[in-house]
Amino acid sequence: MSTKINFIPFIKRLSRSKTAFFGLIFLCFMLLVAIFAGVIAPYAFSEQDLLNTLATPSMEHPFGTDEFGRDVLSRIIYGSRISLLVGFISVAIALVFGGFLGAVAGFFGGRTDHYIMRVMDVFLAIPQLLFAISVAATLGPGLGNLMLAVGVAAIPQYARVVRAGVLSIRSLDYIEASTASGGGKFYIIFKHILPNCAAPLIVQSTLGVAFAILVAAGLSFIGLGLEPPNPEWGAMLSTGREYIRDFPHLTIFPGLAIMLTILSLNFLGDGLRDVLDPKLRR
Amino acid sequence: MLKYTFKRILGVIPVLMGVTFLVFTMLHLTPGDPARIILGEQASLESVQGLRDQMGLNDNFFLQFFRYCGNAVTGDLGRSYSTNRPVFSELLSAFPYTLQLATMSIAIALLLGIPFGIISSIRQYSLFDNIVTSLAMVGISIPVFWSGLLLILLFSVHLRILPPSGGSGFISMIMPAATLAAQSVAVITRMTRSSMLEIVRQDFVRTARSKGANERHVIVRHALPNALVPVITITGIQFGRLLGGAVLTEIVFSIPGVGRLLVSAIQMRDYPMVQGGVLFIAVAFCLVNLGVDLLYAYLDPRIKSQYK
Amino acid sequence: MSLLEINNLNIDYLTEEADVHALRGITLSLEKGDSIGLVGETGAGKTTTALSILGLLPPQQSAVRGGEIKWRGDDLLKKSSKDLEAVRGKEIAMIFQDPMTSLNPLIKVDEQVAEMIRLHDKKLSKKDSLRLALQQLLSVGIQAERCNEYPHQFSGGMKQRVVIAMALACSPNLLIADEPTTALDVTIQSQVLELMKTLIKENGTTLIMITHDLGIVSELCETIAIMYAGEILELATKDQLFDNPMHPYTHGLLASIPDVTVEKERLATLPGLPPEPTEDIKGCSFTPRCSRCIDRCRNERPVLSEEEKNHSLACFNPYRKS
Repeated sequence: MSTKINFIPFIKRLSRSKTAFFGLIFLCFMLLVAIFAGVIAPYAFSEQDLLNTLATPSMEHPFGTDEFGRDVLSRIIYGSRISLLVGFISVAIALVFGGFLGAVAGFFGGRTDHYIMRVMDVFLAIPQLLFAISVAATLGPGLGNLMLAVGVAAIPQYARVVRAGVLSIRSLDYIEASTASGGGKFYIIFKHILPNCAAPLIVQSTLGVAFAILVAAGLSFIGLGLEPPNPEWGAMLSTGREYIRDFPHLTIFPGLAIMLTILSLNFLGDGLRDVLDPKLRR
Repeated sequence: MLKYTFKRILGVIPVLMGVTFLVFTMLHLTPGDPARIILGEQASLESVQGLRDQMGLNDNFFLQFFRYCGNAVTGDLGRSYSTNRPVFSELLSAFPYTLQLATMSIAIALLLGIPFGIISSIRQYSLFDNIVTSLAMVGISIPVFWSGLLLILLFSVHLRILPPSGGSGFISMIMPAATLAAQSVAVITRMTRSSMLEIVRQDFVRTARSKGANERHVIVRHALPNALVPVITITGIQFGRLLGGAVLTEIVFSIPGVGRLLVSAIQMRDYPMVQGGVLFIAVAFCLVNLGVDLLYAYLDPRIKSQYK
Repeated sequence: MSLLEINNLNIDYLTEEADVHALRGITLSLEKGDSIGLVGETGAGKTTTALSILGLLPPQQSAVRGGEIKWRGDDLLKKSSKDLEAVRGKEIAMIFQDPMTSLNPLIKVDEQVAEMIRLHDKKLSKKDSLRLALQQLLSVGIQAERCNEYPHQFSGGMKQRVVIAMALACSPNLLIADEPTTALDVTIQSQVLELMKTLIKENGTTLIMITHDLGIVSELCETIAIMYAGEILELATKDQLFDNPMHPYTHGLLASIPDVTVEKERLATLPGLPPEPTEDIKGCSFTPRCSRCIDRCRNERPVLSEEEKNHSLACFNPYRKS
């Protein structure tokens, strides 16, 4: 397993897969949209036009307006900030805690490993969405709590990936060599072992961001995520549901945004797996 | 085999204890006094205190926990704050809906996913394969609370051929099951495909060809059974996920299943219901996984012989 | 008419970067009862030759760039897949290198042998085929009570016995054995070789043995073909080859075999590496490593031709016994 990834041939190999390339481009596009939301969005996300509520798509409002006359396109543009932020931060949370637990479990083995993994088993016995719902319900609404709920629920997965990676390389000679030359245990974990789990972690994280966005939108959909008037995609869908009979544009566009973002992340993650996983490399 | 089964069942117990402890702790940390919730804002401090004593809420945390565990073993999960009916019987009456939904979904997923995966792997990189793998990715990426709404829009609002809500017979469950199945179809297709691609490269498949077996025989008799071993595992995981993860689908289609019961309990701060619901789903999840592991051991002689 | 006749066979493996020339014009002919050993380093094209005879090369990743493989006069490369299936197993059977992975882990061993028999005798009942399989397994020294066990319950040597039983189940005219003992322990190796020797003699099976071990070849084969970079460099009877190796490569190979009766400082080795398999070679492929190479070797490709009786050679400047 090599840790060094040469950037140029890496991108070249990645873009050989059309779908992965699409994923990368669309994700970059979404990131730009999120960063420059204030510039791109034609209206403010909470700007109400009470004379023009529930308008169908037009030149003025390309995606129509909602029940308060707010521009749906602008809300989706601002919503990208929330979704991407929740996606990345929650994965970062899961990565830090899960990665640490997994590394410790794999490296020390024995009892430490046993106890950590039994605790992870308990977490894994609750379906991830349900776990996120429970945590969100305990913590209450809010952006930070949403990230925490989604992140905590994903910890066991990262612990498993890192542990497997550590176990596969713990016995290799250069780790022994580093131990023999007096490297401290945590020094070895951070300096030698974790970088070597990079490939599966990058893949898992990319797919994890996708799943985190999905879970976060799901939580908002059932009213456990962000409170109004925040332009959260899942919450927008929840509103759209009430008007689905007569104003389907309130449902179609936010859902499309969620799906395309998740799809691009999944395509990218799959492409990364093909490039990074030497076993599957053709 | 019997010993193995017994050992595995014993292994589930600490996990369930852990789940109970986890949920118990989480609810303990949640702001809000259950006695206050039951009695309402107007109730006097004395009556709230009285109820707290009666409910054992003033007892030590661990005492409360072990009392709950003890009762849970006998099937007593407490009473719902909102309906005052036993939590267990509420769950039992909601479970058939969730079970039906999950079973229908997994059936759809297997019926579509395995054939798609096989054909895709045999014709790797063909147009069919490209379409299937791309669609599978869409299936994984599509949020059920969106695809469900789109189906309602198409089949209930425009075509008027299917009811917009489930829970009232087979026909009403078609749309929810299809919605929920999308992701499982995708997962099983991908798993079957990649597993087949890996197995087809194995030496024993080449041996089968060298024996003069035709391609069909090689695939059906040699490659497929081996490729399906991991598919069984993933099917079990999916089924567990469907049992517990049907929450959003149940809400979209207003199905009175366990997931919807749980979410409304959360919204109403009905603690015994939440606790019982999570525990219930965790038990179902563990039992499904246990069943899969046993099936796996039964089907694969290599594993079977380890536990004889 | 020869039993098997390979004429100027060229095979490429297709990779994204370049075509790999696995076989560069192999010519070989076998009569009934012959036993030939294909000897060479990894990558010399031994296994490719074997797989091409059975038509088992991966279809998308390989291409036949010319030549023919005639089996009893019919070109196997032109046969339909259905006709090929009738030949495989029934007329030409193969033993693969790694017994650990060449049996289906989910099927009991007797059924795997019985399947071979049934595939080529459709009228046979399952019960009868299992009975025949049992006999076959007994003949390779597997106890009757172990016949309905799964492959993982067998040791490597036992598995290879099962594979041999399977390969010989339909009494094939030609048996191709691809390094059948490489994956086994040394003591088991000789047992398995002894078994193969007996069975081949009993059935009069024609044999192609693939190995990099000249010792194994000399035990089982009458003829030896020395392969290098997808070509046959020297083809001779066992005795002639060992007594009078003419090609510089063969010379080097024989010199690198340790001889316990002679005390030497260190073993002779062949300097250098085989050519890149993607390279197009104008002259002789061994030129860069050859101590006897002359100008002609660089520009013209030597063709395998009979130098003495039963001794063919592809070299412009061979060693000659003076």
